[in-house]
Amino acid sequence: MGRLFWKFFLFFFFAQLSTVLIVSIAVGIVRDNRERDQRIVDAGPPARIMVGAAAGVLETNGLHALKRLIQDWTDDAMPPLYAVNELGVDLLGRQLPPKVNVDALEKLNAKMDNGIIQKYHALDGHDYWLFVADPAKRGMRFPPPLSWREGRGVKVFGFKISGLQSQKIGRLFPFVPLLVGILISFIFAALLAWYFAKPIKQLRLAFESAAGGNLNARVGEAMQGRRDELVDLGTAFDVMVSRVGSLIESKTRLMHQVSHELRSPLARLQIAIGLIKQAPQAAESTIDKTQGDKLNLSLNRIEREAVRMDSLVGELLTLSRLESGMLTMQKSVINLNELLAELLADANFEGKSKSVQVHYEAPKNLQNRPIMLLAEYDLLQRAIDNIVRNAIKYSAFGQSVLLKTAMDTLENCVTLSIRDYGVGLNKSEIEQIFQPFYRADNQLGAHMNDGHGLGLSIAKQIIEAHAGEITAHTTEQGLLVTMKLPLIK
Amino acid sequence: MHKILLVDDDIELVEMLKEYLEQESFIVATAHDGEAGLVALKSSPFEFDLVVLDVMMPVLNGLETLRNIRQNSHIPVIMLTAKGDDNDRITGLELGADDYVPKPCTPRELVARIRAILRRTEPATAKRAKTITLNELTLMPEKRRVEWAGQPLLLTSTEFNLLEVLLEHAGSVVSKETLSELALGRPMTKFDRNIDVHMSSVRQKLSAIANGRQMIETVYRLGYQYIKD
Repeated sequence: MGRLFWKFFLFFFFAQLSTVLIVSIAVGIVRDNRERDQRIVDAGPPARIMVGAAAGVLETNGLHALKRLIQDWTDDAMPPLYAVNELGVDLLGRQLPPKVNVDALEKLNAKMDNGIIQKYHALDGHDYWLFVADPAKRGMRFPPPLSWREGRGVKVFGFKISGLQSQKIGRLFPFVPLLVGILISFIFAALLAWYFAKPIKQLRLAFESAAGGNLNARVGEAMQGRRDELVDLGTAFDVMVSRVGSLIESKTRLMHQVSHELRSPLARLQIAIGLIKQAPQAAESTIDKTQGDKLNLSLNRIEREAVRMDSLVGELLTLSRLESGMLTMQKSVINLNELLAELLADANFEGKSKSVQVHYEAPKNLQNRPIMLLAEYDLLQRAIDNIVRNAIKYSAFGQSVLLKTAMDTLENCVTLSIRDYGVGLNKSEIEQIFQPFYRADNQLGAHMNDGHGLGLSIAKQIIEAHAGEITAHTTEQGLLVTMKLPLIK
Repeated sequence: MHKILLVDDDIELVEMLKEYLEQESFIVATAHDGEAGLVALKSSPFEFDLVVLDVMMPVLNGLETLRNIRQNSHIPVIMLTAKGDDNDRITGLELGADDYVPKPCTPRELVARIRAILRRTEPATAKRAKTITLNELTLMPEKRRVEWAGQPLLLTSTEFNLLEVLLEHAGSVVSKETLSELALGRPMTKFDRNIDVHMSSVRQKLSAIANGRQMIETVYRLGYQYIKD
């Protein structure tokens, strides 16, 4: 059991304990006060009956009859009934119990009207107070019931309790509920403390496990059946851990791919260097022209590989910044038509070597109207450029690429689609093309050493940073990439 | 002139490597995926002496290609493993590759490995032309053939070399370092599991043909021993 358990437990236990004690003390004081008033007389029902009977005798048969009755009762060892007049003299001339006097009786009679004291004006001209003396004052109570006296005992929860024992219980009576109260508060305090401490312990264990590197740690299952803020905390923890886990997994995969991607240019670098080393004399003698050319060729290759690695690292950095949201974007109002016009000129120049033409199509209502977006010009251009270049790359000699814009007035956004007529992709590949380093497993793509398989991932990150959407679809021939960008309202 | 088949999907790399190897006076043919490599092996007008095979390739990867090659050929194969993990290496060796070279590597190292393998698969020199016979086992270096009670035992060239070294020292323990020097033609490197993998393959093949008898004993921390009696 942890500290928290004991804190909760002790706190609640003491709270309940003090409540029980205070309440019982308060009740005790009230009862005590009431009893103190009544102490001089017996307030029990038998005493009341006796007083009633005595009053009846006095009224109908006079003082003599009462005298005889009291005498009879005394002979029968009944509790002593007193008849005291205003002079403080008992009818039978007995000494009054301590504290009993006319004033006290008068006061008590005025306060209590339930028949434990009756005042009667007798024919001899005196007022008489009839009462039975308090058992404490006279040394005994009413005798216990016959069954107790005879030792037959009573059954309580199957236990036989003899007369004497039950009297003891009776005397202990105020302590029994107190003890039960303490026991119950003990149990409930422990339960409550456990109820709070257990999920917190589970959470702690899960946190420790996660901190120790186990990102499969979950608390949801252990907390099943509960429904409170602690479970919400547990669920939030589960969500966090699984998110962190998938993030780390994707980072590890990326790391793996990066190291692999860097190895290819490195392998080529090493061979190029090996080629130079193979003919060291050639480097010194400029006489042999072919050797010199070879050296130049190798040096060019080395340079090219270095540039390639540099661009790979650069693109990776961009991607990582985009993913982490570290790239602070300076969005401004831009005209998409302007951006596209610039981009088309570049793309067509690029495509010339393959005789690939990029055609632009826009609906009439968009042709001479600016399409205003809130975007960072350079980044957005880079995203669209990546997709257009990708389309050119996978187009065969002499094919064309189609770029189309359309307005979606309902959603207040512009749709930009880029379609090529190249080799296309399988349905299963479509979902992966936006993953970093994914390269279509087809003849054309596999043998191309340019590009790193990061262009589309970067494009996706950029479009999403502009609150847009990017999707890819297969067509009968070639690939169709569609982007949706929100317009300025 | 030794004839080498280079199979790798990196076109530029293959071009440069071809140039390098040609400078080292090899005859080089190239293929850019596993299938093309298999086709080149089968339809070539001359017989190759060695294949350099990249593991990561499209269409048919290096390991699958190796499995295909081993179905009907014992041509020496060097695997180019780009991955950092050992799985590809071990799998490659188990499938019957003779050696592996991690990529990227210097072309000089690759050539050294190629030479080492070619040297030991050379048709027997005068020195070791003698046929070794030990009980049911007969090893004929000049034919590069092994027989158990008249039945041929099919081994890759590396496996053959290992067995040959063990037989030459039959009855005594040969250390892994010696085995590496003599059979693989190169010193053992750190974390080198080459010998163990090849040895386990030799033992399996030998035990299969010898009705479960274990002729080669592993001497813990020391090396291997061919049991004489």
